[in-house]
Amino acid sequence: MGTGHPAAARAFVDNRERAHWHDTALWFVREKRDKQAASLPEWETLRETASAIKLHTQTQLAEYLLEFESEAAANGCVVHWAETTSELNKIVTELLQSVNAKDVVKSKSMLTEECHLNEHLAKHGIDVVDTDLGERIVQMRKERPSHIVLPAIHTKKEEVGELFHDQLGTEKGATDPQYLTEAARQHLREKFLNADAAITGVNFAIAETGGIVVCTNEGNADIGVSLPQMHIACMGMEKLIPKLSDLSVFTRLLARSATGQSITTYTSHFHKPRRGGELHIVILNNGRTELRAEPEIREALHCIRCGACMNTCPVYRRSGGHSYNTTVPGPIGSVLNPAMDPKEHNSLPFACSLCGSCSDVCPVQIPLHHQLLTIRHSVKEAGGLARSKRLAMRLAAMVFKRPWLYKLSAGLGKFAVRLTPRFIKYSRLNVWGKGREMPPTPRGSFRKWYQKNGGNRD
Amino acid sequence: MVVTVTDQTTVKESILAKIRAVELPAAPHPLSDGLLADAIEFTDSVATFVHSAETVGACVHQCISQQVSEIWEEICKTHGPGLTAHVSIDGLVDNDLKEDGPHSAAELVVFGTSGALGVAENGAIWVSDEKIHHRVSLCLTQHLVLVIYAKSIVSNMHQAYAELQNVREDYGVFISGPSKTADIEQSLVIGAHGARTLDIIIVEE
Amino acid sequence: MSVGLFIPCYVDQLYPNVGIATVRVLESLGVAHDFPVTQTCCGQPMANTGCFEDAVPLAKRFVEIFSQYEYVVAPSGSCVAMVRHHFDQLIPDTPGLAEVKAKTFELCEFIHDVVKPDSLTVAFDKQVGLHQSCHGLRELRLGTCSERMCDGDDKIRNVLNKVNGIRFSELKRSDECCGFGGTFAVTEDAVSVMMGEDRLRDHLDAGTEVLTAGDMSCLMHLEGIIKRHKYPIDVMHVSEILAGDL
Repeated sequence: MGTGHPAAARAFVDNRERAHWHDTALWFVREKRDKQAASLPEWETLRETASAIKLHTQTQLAEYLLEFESEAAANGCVVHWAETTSELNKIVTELLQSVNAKDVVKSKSMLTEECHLNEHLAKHGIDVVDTDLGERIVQMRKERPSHIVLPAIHTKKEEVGELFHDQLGTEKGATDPQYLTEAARQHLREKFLNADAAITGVNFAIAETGGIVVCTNEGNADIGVSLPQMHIACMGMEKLIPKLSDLSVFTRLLARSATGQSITTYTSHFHKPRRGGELHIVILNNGRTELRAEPEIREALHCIRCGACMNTCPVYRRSGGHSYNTTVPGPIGSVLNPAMDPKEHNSLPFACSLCGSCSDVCPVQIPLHHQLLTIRHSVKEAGGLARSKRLAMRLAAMVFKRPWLYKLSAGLGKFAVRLTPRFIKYSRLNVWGKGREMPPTPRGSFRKWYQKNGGNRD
Repeated sequence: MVVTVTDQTTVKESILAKIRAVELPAAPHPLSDGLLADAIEFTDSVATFVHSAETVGACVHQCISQQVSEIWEEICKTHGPGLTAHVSIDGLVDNDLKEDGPHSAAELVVFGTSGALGVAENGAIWVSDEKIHHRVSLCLTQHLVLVIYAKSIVSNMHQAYAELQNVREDYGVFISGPSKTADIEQSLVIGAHGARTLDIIIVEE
Repeated sequence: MSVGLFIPCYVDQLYPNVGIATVRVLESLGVAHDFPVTQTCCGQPMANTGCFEDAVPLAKRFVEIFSQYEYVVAPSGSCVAMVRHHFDQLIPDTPGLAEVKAKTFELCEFIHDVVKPDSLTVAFDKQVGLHQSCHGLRELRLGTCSERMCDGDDKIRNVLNKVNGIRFSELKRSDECCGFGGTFAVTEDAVSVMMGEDRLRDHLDAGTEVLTAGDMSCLMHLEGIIKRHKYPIDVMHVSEILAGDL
């Protein structure tokens, strides 16, 4: 069993000031998203269309994958297939070794995080520098990203200032984001210029043309791949979309949902390697075919990794991405990870108040809050639910099936609570009572009143 | 290739077999002609483009074609001195980087080229590397200049992709404003890894 | 029109006044009512814990008990959402389910969509902070949530607006979750309490004198925090405001 979300969340919330700061920062991104969405009268139509395109793609996934491979090959790219994360890691390692690459630059790719690619390459003497500023910050801090779009959202500028002072030689105590970003620009520029190869993720892969699209604000993907000879693009198979024109829908939704911008600064379409270069595309499965086989869960594969569900989730905002202990956290992570391993991630679907906000911000209309409920059932079926909880629910169901027993236990329960002195009632065992007073325990009940006074009156 | 062909064929076939084993209920593609009905359209797409571009931090110049070279000189003077290069701008004789290696673009202070179209809803300009010697010039340069014709500005991305439907460039990119990041406490900083500034010249014919 | 009263278990036992107010409101609108005594629970706590199998018999009981009524009305958005949106997953193809789903309403939804009174005779002079309970808002679509860009009626607010003199607080976050979430309130109590405290801070800053909502579960959690901190906010379920002095 993995370490649970509740304990990590409690630690996060304990530093109330910091938790508020984190919550405010992400709510601000949610509000920016709202402004953009409100500016387009066709917003909800865009969401429906995006959802329908992804649904359609799933129905003909094999055909579209083959079309993509064939078009990409005709463009001079090489397409590789990986069933597992270790297969992907092996392919990437061998490709890098084939050009004697020792220093590699990488732009943001949650897929490579899923594969723990950096660690694998390090074992083979290949150094990977993450070039997205947020990713670089967490890499320097030896941490995992806490958000899929804003990897360093959990760090304060004072902390970045200290980090850069230690590792980049910036002035001690400097916190101005402009100054610190300039330092990162110079530092990473050197890495770009000296890189032997570049790795990117893929935001969208186009079956019709064999092209891949990478979206960034910093330009780090474009610089990264256009200098060294080798560009390796890693993608989950669900990133496929049928046609070039479909990009119109997704490019209008992605940045608006992710950061509240109308589009990312760079929306780069790669069809062929640069002159004299090589472009390799590695397609990963890693359980996606299994998810596709689950009717209740398969829509989770529509995800375009925008992070809007994280920005809106009241629990994510107040517990931070690290509390999920997964590559992709938040609502979508709490569906995808337990779907793959219900016992390891048994606490995640319960790290949710079922408010439904995530489903309503998702640009591709994934019914996340319904899926979270379904995954709770999967967790229970896999034995991931504590025995005490299962027993309690079994008992409760027994009571509720018998009105006489329900009335009796409710009456007795209230009676007992009324008699219990405060110091026992609010002992450490009473989790509800930690932060709240108990609900009232009235002597009567509605049904008693109705039997006496109910019925229609004039 | 590094991974033997048979291995790859096996993996690919196994993945495809897993996909084919699960048949999903039919779900047609929602867009028959690739266009979204009722997508936002602007009465004055040029004005909207200017507004969108300025919102994302670009500096916009509007002129007639005879003025392009003058404006280019002005921009170079503002950002210079240093290496400048430009290619495929009407009214200017091409002066692209000559060196073979793309690393030569690291010295660029100002780089200019033309875009095929502009998109009013987000201030983006489509640029391809077809005429550019080193595509990395577009983002290694300290300052970028993009020239587009006013008549090439469309309202939204659906119209943009319709224009680009038959184009299959090696590398094409929508560029919207100068590079930026907000990764340090959500403070917007203009000038991340790509160009620090973007000057857009909109040419009225 | 006649209504079968669906009173959630915890309202029945802990907040009978909410049930009583519901009856008074319906009577004032000329709606006949009955309370089938064999009802206990819709199965939501079990389903939300992933124990679908334990919820199944309760869901079946519900359909049997309530199928005889013209309408089924509950002072609870989450229980109604359970019936209309989640019973399909628990007891698919159950005879009578489709009919029961079609006639089960949350109280304000029933008043807004079915009874449609021109006015109400009650008055209320305290500033009301309306908490938009999530299941009612995003499952039953009782109002337009801030995430979606579409028009629609805010049914609870529209019904409350018929109360003479009522005025509402302007909140910074109009529909963020209160943090109850069922067993979430206990399993993730740290986040749950912080969420509740944050909601209440919004209400305090906005000058809320009386906090109300369509779901007593949200109010139970928020009232617990109010009492612990001794905040100067009273709590009333929407049915209690609508019932006035009846």
